Amino acid sequence: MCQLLGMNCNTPTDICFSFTGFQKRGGETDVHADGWASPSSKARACACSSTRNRRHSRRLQSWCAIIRSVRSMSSHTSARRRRCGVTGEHAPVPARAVGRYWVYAHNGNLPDFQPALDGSFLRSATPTANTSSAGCCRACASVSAMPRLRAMRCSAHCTS
Amino acid sequence: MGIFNYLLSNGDCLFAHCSTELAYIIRRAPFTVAHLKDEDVAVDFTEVTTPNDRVAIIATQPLTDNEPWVNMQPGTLWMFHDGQAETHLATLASPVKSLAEFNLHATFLMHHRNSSLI
Repeated sequence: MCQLLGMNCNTPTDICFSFTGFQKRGGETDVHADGWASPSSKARACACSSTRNRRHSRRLQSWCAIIRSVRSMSSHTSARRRRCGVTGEHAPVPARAVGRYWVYAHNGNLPDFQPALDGSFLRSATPTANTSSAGCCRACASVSAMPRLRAMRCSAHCTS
Repeated sequence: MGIFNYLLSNGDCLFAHCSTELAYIIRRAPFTVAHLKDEDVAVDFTEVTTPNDRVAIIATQPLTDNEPWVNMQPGTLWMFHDGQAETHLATLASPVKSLAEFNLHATFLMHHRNSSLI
Protein backbone atom coordinates (compact mmCIF):
# COMPACT_ATOMS: atom_id res chain seq x y z
CA MET A 1 0.00 0.00 0.00
CA CYS A 2 1.49 3.31 -0.95
CA GLN A 3 2.14 6.25 1.35
CA LEU A 4 0.78 9.77 0.98
CA LEU A 5 2.26 13.19 1.66
CA GLY A 6 0.42 16.49 1.37
CA MET A 7 1.08 20.11 2.24
CA ASN A 8 -1.19 23.10 2.66
CA CYS A 9 0.12 26.51 3.70
CA ASN A 10 -0.72 30.20 3.77
CA THR A 11 2.33 31.30 1.79
CA PRO A 12 4.23 29.61 -1.08
CA THR A 13 6.58 27.07 0.48
CA ASP A 14 8.69 24.21 -0.84
CA ILE A 15 8.14 20.71 0.48
CA CYS A 16 11.81 19.77 0.14
CA PHE A 17 12.47 18.97 3.83
CA SER A 18 9.46 16.69 4.23
CA PHE A 19 10.09 15.06 0.87
CA THR A 20 13.69 14.31 1.88
CA GLY A 21 12.41 12.00 4.59
CA PHE A 22 9.46 10.80 2.53
CA GLN A 23 11.58 9.69 -0.41
CA LYS A 24 13.66 7.49 1.92
CA ARG A 25 10.58 5.33 2.35
CA GLY A 26 10.72 4.63 -1.38
CA GLY A 27 12.90 1.57 -0.98
CA GLU A 28 15.34 2.45 1.81
CA THR A 29 13.50 2.76 5.12
CA ASP A 30 10.30 1.25 3.69
CA VAL A 31 9.17 -0.85 0.74
CA HIS A 32 7.36 1.67 -1.44
CA ALA A 33 9.67 1.51 -4.43
CA ASP A 34 7.37 0.96 -7.39
CA GLY A 35 6.80 4.53 -8.44
CA TRP A 36 6.40 8.15 -7.51
CA ALA A 37 4.19 11.05 -8.39
CA SER A 38 4.04 14.63 -7.24
CA PRO A 39 1.46 17.19 -8.32
CA SER A 40 1.66 20.78 -7.24
CA SER A 41 -0.77 23.65 -7.53
CA LYS A 42 -0.37 27.38 -7.40
CA ALA A 43 -3.24 29.78 -7.82
CA ARG A 44 -5.60 27.79 -10.08
CA ALA A 45 -2.92 26.02 -12.09
CA CYS A 46 -1.76 22.48 -11.52
CA ALA A 47 1.34 20.56 -12.60
CA CYS A 48 2.12 16.89 -12.13
CA SER A 49 5.33 14.87 -12.36
CA SER A 50 5.62 11.11 -12.00
CA THR A 51 8.05 8.24 -12.46
CA ARG A 52 8.05 4.47 -12.16
CA ASN A 53 11.70 4.27 -11.24
CA ARG A 54 12.90 4.54 -7.65
CA ARG A 55 16.18 6.07 -8.83
CA HIS A 56 14.24 8.97 -10.27
CA SER A 57 12.96 10.04 -6.87
CA ARG A 58 15.90 12.44 -6.72
CA ARG A 59 14.54 14.15 -9.81
CA LEU A 60 11.21 14.52 -8.08
CA GLN A 61 13.04 15.95 -5.09
CA SER A 62 14.62 18.52 -7.38
CA TRP A 63 11.17 19.25 -8.77
CA CYS A 64 9.84 19.76 -5.24
CA ALA A 65 12.75 22.05 -4.43
CA ILE A 66 12.22 24.18 -7.51
CA ILE A 67 8.52 24.69 -7.03
CA ARG A 68 7.43 26.85 -4.17
CA SER A 69 3.81 26.03 -3.91
CA VAL A 70 0.88 26.74 -1.67
CA ARG A 71 -0.41 23.18 -1.95
CA SER A 72 1.58 20.10 -2.78
CA MET A 73 1.01 16.38 -2.67
CA SER A 74 3.12 13.27 -3.19
CA SER A 75 2.70 9.55 -3.12
CA HIS A 76 4.91 6.56 -3.59
CA THR A 77 3.63 3.20 -4.59
CA SER A 78 4.20 -0.38 -3.59
CA ALA A 79 2.50 -2.67 -6.09
CA ARG A 80 1.72 -5.90 -4.29
CA ARG A 81 -0.89 -7.72 -6.29
CA ARG A 82 -0.32 -6.57 -9.85
CA ARG A 83 1.54 -4.12 -11.96
CA CYS A 84 0.65 -0.65 -10.85
CA GLY A 85 1.14 2.29 -13.13
CA VAL A 86 2.22 5.53 -11.56
CA THR A 87 -0.41 7.40 -13.50
CA GLY A 88 -2.83 4.60 -12.76
CA GLU A 89 -4.72 3.73 -9.70
CA HIS A 90 -2.99 5.18 -6.69
CA ALA A 91 -0.86 8.08 -7.82
CA PRO A 92 -1.94 11.72 -7.68
CA VAL A 93 -3.96 12.64 -10.74
CA PRO A 94 -5.54 15.90 -11.81
CA ALA A 95 -9.19 16.22 -12.78
CA ARG A 96 -11.20 19.30 -13.66
CA ALA A 97 -14.49 19.88 -11.87
CA VAL A 98 -16.61 22.86 -10.83
CA GLY A 99 -14.23 25.23 -12.56
CA ARG A 100 -11.13 24.07 -10.70
CA TYR A 101 -8.36 21.55 -11.12
CA TRP A 102 -8.38 18.89 -8.42
CA VAL A 103 -5.53 16.57 -7.59
CA TYR A 104 -6.27 13.33 -5.85
CA ALA A 105 -4.22 10.48 -4.42
CA HIS A 106 -5.26 7.49 -2.34
CA ASN A 107 -3.73 4.36 -0.90
CA GLY A 108 -6.83 2.31 -0.47
CA ASN A 109 -8.63 -0.63 -1.94
CA LEU A 110 -12.37 -0.57 -2.58
CA PRO A 111 -13.29 -3.74 -4.50
CA ASP A 112 -16.88 -4.09 -5.71
CA PHE A 113 -17.78 -0.61 -4.50
CA GLN A 114 -21.51 -0.01 -4.79
CA PRO A 115 -23.03 1.97 -6.32
CA ALA A 116 -20.68 2.43 -9.25
CA LEU A 117 -19.72 6.10 -9.40
CA ASP A 118 -18.88 7.69 -12.72
CA GLY A 119 -18.64 11.36 -11.79
CA SER A 120 -21.94 12.23 -13.45
CA PHE A 121 -23.08 14.03 -10.29
CA LEU A 122 -20.42 16.64 -11.08
CA ARG A 123 -21.81 18.17 -14.25
CA SER A 124 -18.48 19.52 -15.46
CA ALA A 125 -16.17 16.77 -14.15
CA THR A 126 -13.50 15.92 -16.71
CA PRO A 127 -10.80 13.42 -15.72
CA THR A 128 -7.50 14.51 -17.22
CA ALA A 129 -5.68 11.22 -16.65
CA ASN A 130 -6.42 7.54 -16.22
CA THR A 131 -7.38 6.93 -12.63
CA SER A 132 -9.66 5.02 -10.35
CA SER A 133 -12.47 7.40 -11.07
CA ALA A 134 -14.81 5.70 -8.62
CA GLY A 135 -12.51 6.55 -5.74
CA CYS A 136 -12.03 10.09 -6.96
CA CYS A 137 -15.76 10.58 -7.35
CA ARG A 138 -16.36 9.09 -3.94
CA ALA A 139 -13.86 11.57 -2.51
CA CYS A 140 -15.55 14.49 -4.27
CA ALA A 141 -18.93 13.30 -3.07
CA SER A 142 -17.81 13.06 0.54
CA VAL A 143 -16.17 16.47 0.69
CA SER A 144 -19.10 18.10 -1.10
CA ALA A 145 -20.97 17.73 2.20
CA MET A 146 -18.73 20.35 3.78
CA PRO A 147 -20.35 23.81 3.97
CA ARG A 148 -17.13 25.58 2.96
CA LEU A 149 -16.93 23.58 -0.26
CA ARG A 150 -20.56 24.25 -1.09
CA ALA A 151 -19.82 27.97 -0.82
CA MET A 152 -16.76 27.51 -3.01
CA ARG A 153 -18.73 25.65 -5.69
CA CYS A 154 -21.27 28.48 -5.76
CA SER A 155 -18.42 30.93 -6.16
CA ALA A 156 -16.88 28.87 -8.99
CA HIS A 157 -20.17 28.75 -10.86
CA CYS A 158 -20.63 32.49 -10.44
CA THR A 159 -17.20 33.39 -11.74
CA SER A 160 -17.09 30.98 -14.70
CA MET B 1 -15.91 -2.51 2.54
CA GLY B 2 -12.30 -1.52 2.16
CA ILE B 3 -9.50 0.91 2.87
CA PHE B 4 -9.77 4.46 1.58
CA ASN B 5 -7.18 6.96 2.77
CA TYR B 6 -6.96 9.85 0.36
CA LEU B 7 -5.76 13.40 -0.20
CA LEU B 8 -7.78 15.72 -2.43
CA SER B 9 -6.89 19.33 -3.21
CA ASN B 10 -8.18 22.03 -5.51
CA GLY B 11 -5.29 24.44 -5.06
CA ASP B 12 -7.14 26.20 -2.26
CA CYS B 13 -8.13 23.60 0.30
CA LEU B 14 -6.71 20.17 0.98
CA PHE B 15 -9.04 17.41 2.12
CA ALA B 16 -7.61 14.38 3.90
CA HIS B 17 -9.64 11.28 4.64
CA CYS B 18 -8.29 8.87 7.21
CA SER B 19 -9.66 5.38 6.81
CA THR B 20 -6.82 3.58 8.58
CA GLU B 21 -3.74 5.76 8.97
CA LEU B 22 -2.90 9.45 8.43
CA ALA B 23 -1.15 12.03 10.58
CA TYR B 24 -0.64 15.80 10.36
CA ILE B 25 1.35 18.58 11.93
CA ILE B 26 0.84 22.35 11.86
CA ARG B 27 4.07 24.34 11.81
CA ARG B 28 3.67 27.97 12.87
CA ALA B 29 5.54 30.58 14.93
CA PRO B 30 7.37 30.11 17.21
CA PHE B 31 9.18 27.74 14.86
CA THR B 32 11.64 25.15 16.12
CA VAL B 33 14.19 22.67 14.81
CA ALA B 34 12.68 19.62 13.13
CA HIS B 35 14.54 16.34 12.73
CA LEU B 36 13.58 13.71 10.15
CA LYS B 37 12.73 10.20 11.30
CA ASP B 38 13.99 8.47 8.14
CA GLU B 39 17.26 10.35 7.70
CA ASP B 40 19.60 12.28 9.98
CA VAL B 41 18.59 15.67 8.63
CA ALA B 42 17.39 18.65 10.66
CA VAL B 43 16.11 22.08 9.71
CA ASP B 44 15.85 25.13 11.91
CA PHE B 45 12.62 26.64 10.65
CA THR B 46 13.29 29.92 12.45
CA GLU B 47 15.91 30.63 9.78
CA VAL B 48 13.72 29.95 6.75
CA THR B 49 10.31 31.30 7.76
CA THR B 50 8.56 34.52 8.68
CA PRO B 51 6.35 34.89 11.80
CA ASN B 52 3.20 34.81 9.67
CA ASP B 53 3.98 31.53 7.90
CA ARG B 54 1.82 28.54 8.67
CA VAL B 55 2.20 25.11 7.09
CA ALA B 56 0.19 21.92 7.46
CA ILE B 57 1.97 18.68 6.53
CA ILE B 58 -0.14 15.56 6.14
CA ALA B 59 1.51 12.14 5.79
CA THR B 60 0.65 8.48 6.15
CA GLN B 61 3.16 8.24 9.00
CA PRO B 62 4.92 11.08 10.90
CA LEU B 63 8.03 12.28 9.09
CA THR B 64 9.86 13.83 12.05
CA ASP B 65 10.67 12.41 15.47
CA ASN B 66 10.71 15.56 17.61
CA GLU B 67 7.43 17.25 16.71
CA PRO B 68 3.89 16.73 18.06
CA TRP B 69 2.23 14.99 15.09
CA VAL B 70 -1.50 14.42 15.42
CA ASN B 71 -2.71 10.96 14.42
CA MET B 72 -6.05 11.35 12.70
CA GLN B 73 -8.80 9.15 14.05
CA PRO B 74 -9.73 6.45 11.50
CA GLY B 75 -13.08 7.44 10.02
CA THR B 76 -12.53 11.20 9.82
CA LEU B 77 -12.43 13.67 6.94
CA TRP B 78 -10.31 16.79 7.50
CA MET B 79 -10.23 20.10 5.64
CA PHE B 80 -6.98 22.12 5.64
CA HIS B 81 -6.89 25.73 4.49
CA ASP B 82 -4.16 28.37 4.83
CA GLY B 83 -1.99 25.92 6.72
CA GLN B 84 -4.41 24.92 9.43
CA ALA B 85 -7.04 22.27 10.06
CA GLU B 86 -10.28 24.18 9.66
CA THR B 87 -12.79 21.44 10.32
CA HIS B 88 -13.33 17.72 10.32
CA LEU B 89 -16.27 15.38 9.95
CA ALA B 90 -16.90 11.82 11.06
CA THR B 91 -17.05 9.21 8.29
CA LEU B 92 -16.55 5.45 8.36
CA ALA B 93 -13.35 3.82 9.51
CA SER B 94 -12.03 0.84 7.61
CA PRO B 95 -12.94 -2.45 9.30
CA VAL B 96 -9.44 -3.71 8.49
CA LYS B 97 -6.11 -2.05 9.24
CA SER B 98 -4.02 -3.19 6.27
CA LEU B 99 -4.27 -4.72 2.81
CA ALA B 100 -2.93 -8.02 4.21
CA GLU B 101 -5.74 -8.09 6.78
CA PHE B 102 -8.17 -7.07 4.06
CA ASN B 103 -7.10 -9.97 1.81
CA LEU B 104 -7.47 -12.42 4.71
CA HIS B 105 -10.96 -11.06 5.38
CA ALA B 106 -11.90 -11.31 1.68
CA THR B 107 -10.64 -14.90 1.53
CA PHE B 108 -12.66 -15.78 4.63
CA LEU B 109 -15.81 -14.22 3.14
CA MET B 110 -15.31 -16.08 -0.14
CA HIS B 111 -14.98 -19.42 1.68
CA HIS B 112 -18.01 -18.60 3.81
CA ARG B 113 -20.03 -17.71 0.69
CA ASN B 114 -18.95 -20.88 -1.11
CA SER B 115 -19.76 -23.11 1.87
CA SER B 116 -23.19 -21.48 2.13
CA LEU B 117 -23.91 -22.40 -1.48
CA ILE B 118 -23.06 -26.06 -0.97
